[in-house]
Amino acid sequence: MSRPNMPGLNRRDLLKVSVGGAAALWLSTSNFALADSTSIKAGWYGGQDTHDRMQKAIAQFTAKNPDIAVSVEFAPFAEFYDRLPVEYSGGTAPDMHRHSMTYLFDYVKRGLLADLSPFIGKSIDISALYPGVVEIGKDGDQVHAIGNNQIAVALFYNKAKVAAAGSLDNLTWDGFRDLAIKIGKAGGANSYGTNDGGGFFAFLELFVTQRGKSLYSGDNALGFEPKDLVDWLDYWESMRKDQGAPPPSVTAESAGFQNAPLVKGTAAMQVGWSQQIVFYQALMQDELDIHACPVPAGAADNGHLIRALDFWVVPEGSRNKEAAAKLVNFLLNDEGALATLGLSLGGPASDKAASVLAKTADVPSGKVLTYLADLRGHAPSATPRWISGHGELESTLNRLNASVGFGQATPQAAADSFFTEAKRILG
Amino acid sequence: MPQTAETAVPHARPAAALRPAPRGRKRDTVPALVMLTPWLLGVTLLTALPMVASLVLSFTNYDLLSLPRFIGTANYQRLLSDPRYIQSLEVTTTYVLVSVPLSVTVALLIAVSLSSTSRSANLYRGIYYLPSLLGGSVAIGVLWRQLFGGQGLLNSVLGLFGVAGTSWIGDPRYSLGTLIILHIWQFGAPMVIFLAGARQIPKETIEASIIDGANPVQRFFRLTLPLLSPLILFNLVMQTITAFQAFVPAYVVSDGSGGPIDSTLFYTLYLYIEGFRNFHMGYAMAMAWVLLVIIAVFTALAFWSSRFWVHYEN
Repeated sequence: MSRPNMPGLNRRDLLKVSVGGAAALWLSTSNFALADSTSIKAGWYGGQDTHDRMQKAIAQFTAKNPDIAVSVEFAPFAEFYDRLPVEYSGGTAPDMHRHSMTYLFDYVKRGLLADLSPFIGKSIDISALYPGVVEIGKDGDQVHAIGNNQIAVALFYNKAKVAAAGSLDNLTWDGFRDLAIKIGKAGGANSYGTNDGGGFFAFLELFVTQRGKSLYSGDNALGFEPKDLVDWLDYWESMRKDQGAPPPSVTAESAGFQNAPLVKGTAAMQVGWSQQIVFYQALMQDELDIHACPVPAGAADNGHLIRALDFWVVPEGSRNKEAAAKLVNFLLNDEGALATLGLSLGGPASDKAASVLAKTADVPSGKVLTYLADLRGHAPSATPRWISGHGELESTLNRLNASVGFGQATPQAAADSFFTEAKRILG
Repeated sequence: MPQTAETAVPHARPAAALRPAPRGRKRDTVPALVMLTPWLLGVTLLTALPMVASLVLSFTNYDLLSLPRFIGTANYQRLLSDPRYIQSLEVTTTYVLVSVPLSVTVALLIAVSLSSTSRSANLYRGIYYLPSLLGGSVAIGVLWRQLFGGQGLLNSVLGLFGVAGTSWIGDPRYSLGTLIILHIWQFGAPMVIFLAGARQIPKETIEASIIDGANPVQRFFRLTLPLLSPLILFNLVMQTITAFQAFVPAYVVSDGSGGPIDSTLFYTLYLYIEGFRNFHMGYAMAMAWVLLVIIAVFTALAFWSSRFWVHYEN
């Protein structure tokens, strides 16, 4: 049978079509940039509110910088950090991204973050930032991270429930426990005074700081004693025993703002990071307020630290550091961006940011700004860093605190186990 | 002796017939290789090379973020002294030893009871297979949290009868049990295999046993079970491998921690935590290779024991 005589593609035509098609496909799917245009990728972690606000802020940036195209990637905290090491390993990390101090020095130690010093004073203006915001991200003379917030540990409370049981004035650790137990017992079964703060590492940091110690000593050792940890674990066990704090089976199900005992109405107080009152208040009707955490009886200083906890960083492997630095600067200093971001990234990192936020702050945000402004008057500007291995230690403390709660370990055994683990983790 | 025409031809013919064959095979080989290239590339680049890389990296201190450093067998030695690793091994072994036999038993019983050809049996087969379609998905993990949580559906039902429930997923005494129930609930895949086997049992054999006076229980134990024993072996092996590799349910139900207090710390979950969260990828690789050996041992045991209980007709 003969082939129909029709105008078909010959081999040469087919080759042309294939090459042309492949080129078109590559152009459409790659980050191919037209002349005078730069493409960067920005990444961050957070909740939906953070994602929405960050995308709006980036849209503001691209409107003002049409020569820079910004693609984005974002996820909740845990998922973001599950993905990030793989991206760094594969050379596909975002050109700039949010970095928590929990893991920051894991990356600094391995030389993965660019030194931003060459951009400071040129592309990045740090003149308005609070003291300490830049210093805490330094490693020697190099600036590997610039803080995008200043926050502190705080105690949130349901105003009506706490007022009915007592007062937070001159709050000592013993007073806090008495009040929590009183609230818990008054509420009957399945009612508690506060959330279980025994596994909150930054809260433990506050506790040891008040004892004149620190979380870390140097770059590979703990700065407190096993006795401090025994006291800490013992304190929280005494809370759990008398309904001051929920049992660990309840705490195991309380991850996420919406599941917090404070929001569910099973507790009247909650310890957390200062700006989180905004997220909690959005989920409940009862009015919340914010207060400093307990202090030892007779202490002259409440030992609170106010520090940059989240940062903007640029990976050493980024091929567009200049454009990434411009975006960092925009998010730190542009008034429109600061207003858009609100408190979604934490408390303000500069007076400029604070004044922008003050103009638009709702009631809970205003409480955060006032709380941080008050703390800033007393807290040291130079705050200790969380060293490499902090993230693993944090989950270890959380697990051991639960072990004590479930009766699987005594506070002494849990503290010994923590110090053994810390020795291995910190090397 | 001179070769005659008669004797020469039969010898010459095969030789002549064979000569073009190599050329034919050659002609076939090249297109075959071309057609196989995508598969060969896939198996080499996506399976073989990563496996070799994984084996090599298991002898290194590798954190994903910097270059690996050779440390000999240190990762394997650490396994023996790591309490969390031992815990993950205990949790996973318990999970496998309890959930696999139960899952296979439930699948077998339901398959046998649904092996008739009635319309209602078809409907029930579809319904019972549904959980397996949903599989070990994240959605099912989330659903399990809602069912077994402190304020979940199970406790609401118990409350109707005046029974005070507990947090089934938040209490280490029960948390693994909820995951075992989840595994058993997904019996659809082995059930379908058993169904296919049950439908192959000759009617004449069943009729003969009925004529001989065997009651349903005797027929099940003396006839159905022996004839399905090869499929039981198959399902046991497949379910064991799947159970050892279970990850998603524990990850979702425990928020990725293996908690409370490591009571749901599955082997693969701990491997994941060490590799991706704690930057011990070399150690995680060593764990992966030990898991391969463990699965191989369990599979070999199943095959070895089969000589005592699996009935092959031939």
